[in-house]
Amino acid sequence: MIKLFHVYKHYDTQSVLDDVTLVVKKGDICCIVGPNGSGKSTLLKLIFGQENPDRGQIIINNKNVTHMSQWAISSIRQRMGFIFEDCQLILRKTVIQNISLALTIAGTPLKQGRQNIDRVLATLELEHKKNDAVSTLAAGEKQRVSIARAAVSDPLVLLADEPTGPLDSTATAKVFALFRSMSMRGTTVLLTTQNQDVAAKFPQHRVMLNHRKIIPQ
Amino acid sequence: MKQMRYLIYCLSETRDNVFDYRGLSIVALVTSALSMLCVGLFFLIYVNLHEIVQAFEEEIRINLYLDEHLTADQRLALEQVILSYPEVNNTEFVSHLDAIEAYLEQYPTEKLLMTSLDEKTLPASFVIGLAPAYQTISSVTALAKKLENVDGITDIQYGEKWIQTLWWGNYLMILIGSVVGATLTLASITIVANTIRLTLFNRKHDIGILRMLGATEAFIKGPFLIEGVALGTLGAGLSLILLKIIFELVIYRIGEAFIQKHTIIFLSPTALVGVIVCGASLGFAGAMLSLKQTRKA
Repeated sequence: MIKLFHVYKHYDTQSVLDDVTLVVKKGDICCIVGPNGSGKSTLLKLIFGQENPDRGQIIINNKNVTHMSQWAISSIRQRMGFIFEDCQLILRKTVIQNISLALTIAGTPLKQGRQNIDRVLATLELEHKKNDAVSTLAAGEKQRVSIARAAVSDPLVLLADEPTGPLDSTATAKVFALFRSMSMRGTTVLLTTQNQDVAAKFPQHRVMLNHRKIIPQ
Repeated sequence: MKQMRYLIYCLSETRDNVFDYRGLSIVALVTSALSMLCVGLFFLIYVNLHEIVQAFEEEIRINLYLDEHLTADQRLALEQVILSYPEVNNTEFVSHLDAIEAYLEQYPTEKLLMTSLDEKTLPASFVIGLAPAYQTISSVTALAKKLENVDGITDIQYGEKWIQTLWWGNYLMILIGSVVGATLTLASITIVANTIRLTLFNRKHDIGILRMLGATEAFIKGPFLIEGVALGTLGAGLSLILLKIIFELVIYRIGEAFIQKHTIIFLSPTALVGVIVCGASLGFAGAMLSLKQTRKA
């Protein structure tokens, strides 16, 4: 579960988020839609503990992560998945090495880890690329590796920043199917997009972020 | 299983780090090997000198040259006095004639010279054997000082200059070895630290990703610590191989040519393990230094 209460954030004199309150229940998929520069990525960074809010509270799975120590944030992140807009992969490593990194950090047992890897590789059609170096992949493939890495450890919370940007419609459909199956297994999914068509796929919980504020749809 | 997965990760990261920056790793490896080789050489010389000094100490005999006017009774009384010292194990009386005989046995061509010598030139003496607990240069010197003032003894000789020279040589080896060793060890630590620092710098992006994935500082540091320990250990191993080659080709042959009584020895298995442990510690120290300074890599 993700809860944000009256969160404010500004950079220099520029206000980015203004009194944002949002609750996403356990196993729910929430889609935040908004134009460029509306603060979507900042919102995810605050939830992920990459940045601190100026004011307000952020609670993840009943833990207040606002202004947490680096060590505490590490343990929270081990139970979270983050899909970055720019993939954030280790280019010198292979697809399978990048994916299993999340399992190593989370301390997932080897046997369970292998099953999870096989499952996400199959879902995202990456089996034939598993031993390729990430540096040799196309943009869409890199994004799928990033999604596989975020999903492989069955996180409690999955944060996805424009996850389908470089993907074609087939791959996008597979990613959304993955999100739905994860949500059914109890993962809370929070994704951002500026694409109204993508947002339309998640009519159950869709919020608009515009002019620094959340506008429920 | 969790630890096993992490260990596999650490080892594969270490392998990648060493392979990706192999030029730098080779420089660090060779430098630490040469540093430890120098330290090892000094240590080897010290060990052998120490062995020789110890062997000399075990064979130490004190020659007490006696007053030529000493009567037989006075000589017996003197012997009792000498034997009363706890440092003395036994005494052997060597008369003027015995001394000449012994000399002629060693230098038979000088018979003519010997016949002209009187008792002043080659006086009678007591040869003192030391008790095992006192077979050290310091005990011998102390005993010699005590005996200096005993009536009836005109001169005391125990090859002190030769033993003192060896002793000082041994100390000098420790001193030079320590100074050179400390300097080279610092150099090795710095080079290992710089190698790891550079790897850390080049892995900055990867480390950022690891933090995003929830990796703790200890998780991130693991491979770099192993890299430091691996470089130090391999450096120590390489230094021992070089030391053995130098020992076989140079030191042993020089020793054989110049030192007849003693066999030149290589480092003991314990010392070899010690050198490897030192190398590993040196690498660990270098890695810790770089990780401390690059906490926010």
